[in-house]
Amino acid sequence: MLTEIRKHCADLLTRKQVAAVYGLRERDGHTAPYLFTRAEDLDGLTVGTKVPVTFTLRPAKKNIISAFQEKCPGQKIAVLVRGCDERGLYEVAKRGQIQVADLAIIGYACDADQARACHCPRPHPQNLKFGEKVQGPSNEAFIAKIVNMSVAEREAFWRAQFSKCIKCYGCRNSCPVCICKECWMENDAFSPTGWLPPDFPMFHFVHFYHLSDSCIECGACVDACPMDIPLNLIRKVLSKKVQEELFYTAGQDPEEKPPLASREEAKERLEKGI
Amino acid sequence: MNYENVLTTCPYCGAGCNFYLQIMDGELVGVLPCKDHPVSQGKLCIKGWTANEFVTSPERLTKPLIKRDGKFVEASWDEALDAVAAKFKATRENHGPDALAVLASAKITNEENYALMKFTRAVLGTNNIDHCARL
Ligand code: SF4
Ligand code: SF4
Repeated sequence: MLTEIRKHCADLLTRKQVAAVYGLRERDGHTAPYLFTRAEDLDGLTVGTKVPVTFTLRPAKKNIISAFQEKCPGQKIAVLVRGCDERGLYEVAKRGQIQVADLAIIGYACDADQARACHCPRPHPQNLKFGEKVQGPSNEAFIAKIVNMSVAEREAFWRAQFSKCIKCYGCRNSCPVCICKECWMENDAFSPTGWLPPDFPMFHFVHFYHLSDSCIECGACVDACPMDIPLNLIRKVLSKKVQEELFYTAGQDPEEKPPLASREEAKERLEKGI
Repeated sequence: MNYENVLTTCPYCGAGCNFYLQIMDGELVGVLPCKDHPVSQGKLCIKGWTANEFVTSPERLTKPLIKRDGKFVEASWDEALDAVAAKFKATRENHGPDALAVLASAKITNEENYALMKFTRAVLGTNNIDHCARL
């Protein structure tokens, strides 16, 4: 798969169909996002790692791709994405930060093992060009653990988990759809500066609820947590609720409006039952 | 346009976490954790996550300051180093070398800490050297 992807990207660059290819580069044994502008550099291009290409620049609080687009407006950029990268990109596009029309989205599929490791509901992008689509694992058994708890048990569970929090903001910083200019997690009313662990439950719940209709279940937050707090557990329960109650799945269509920002359309969806 | 990530070691403490500095057209625009680094494994503390911010912070000290008449005033490096050397010398002459102490740092390298230890014992002439965490 990698050889074909490299070749495809080299063609795009040499035929000047795109100004740059944004993807992952392996260098000295480590993988990081990179903007390829020369076909001869594509030897370093890699895929199939857990490194995301969509994330928010801080302190600018803008998505990396929107920063590219601000630098060279109107220029075509190819972006190599997995399912989660694409979903993140679409959610940010819905909120006006990314112009999808100016991107050439090139998707590749994750394999079943990767999908299982990430608890990923859709391990392939809609713009799938490389690799074979596999079914995402069912996460029912994964969430059953907390869904079946009594309210008191659940509170005790989360209280214990969040008492480990060192307030690193890694969960927020690594989230591809966390783009608010003013962050409530930094609000002293919810979690006073200088206190550890942060106030239960508001510090984390602000994050959970604020992203309830935009979380694309990429798992970047849980991967970034140095304290191994199972943030994806609560994320999956919330996303399921949003799907059941609002008939909405984040990251599907960049034209769709976020359900919490458009009550009218939520009502329409409810009436239509879609 | 140019965008790349440069792997580096966090300057804040001695743990040795690594992260990427994100560079866009020569400008430092952010920090990105390095998932495959054996020490930090894609995780960082709040200091590492914000390590890019002090580089261009307007509050960053860029010149030495010497306190004169109760107020900090800008000085050249020569003036500042001369002032420190003079105070060290005067204290040593008047009160002996054990009146001096040095606090080393987790923010500097092993080699720099070694040099500091040598300076304390061989130049200042005291065994009073300790880690800044015990401040
Ligand atoms: S899984 Fe975590 S990092 Fe990913 S979109 Fe949801 S909240 Fe953000
Ligand atoms: S990543 Fe983990 S430790 Fe850091 S703020 Fe989030 S929950 Fe707390």
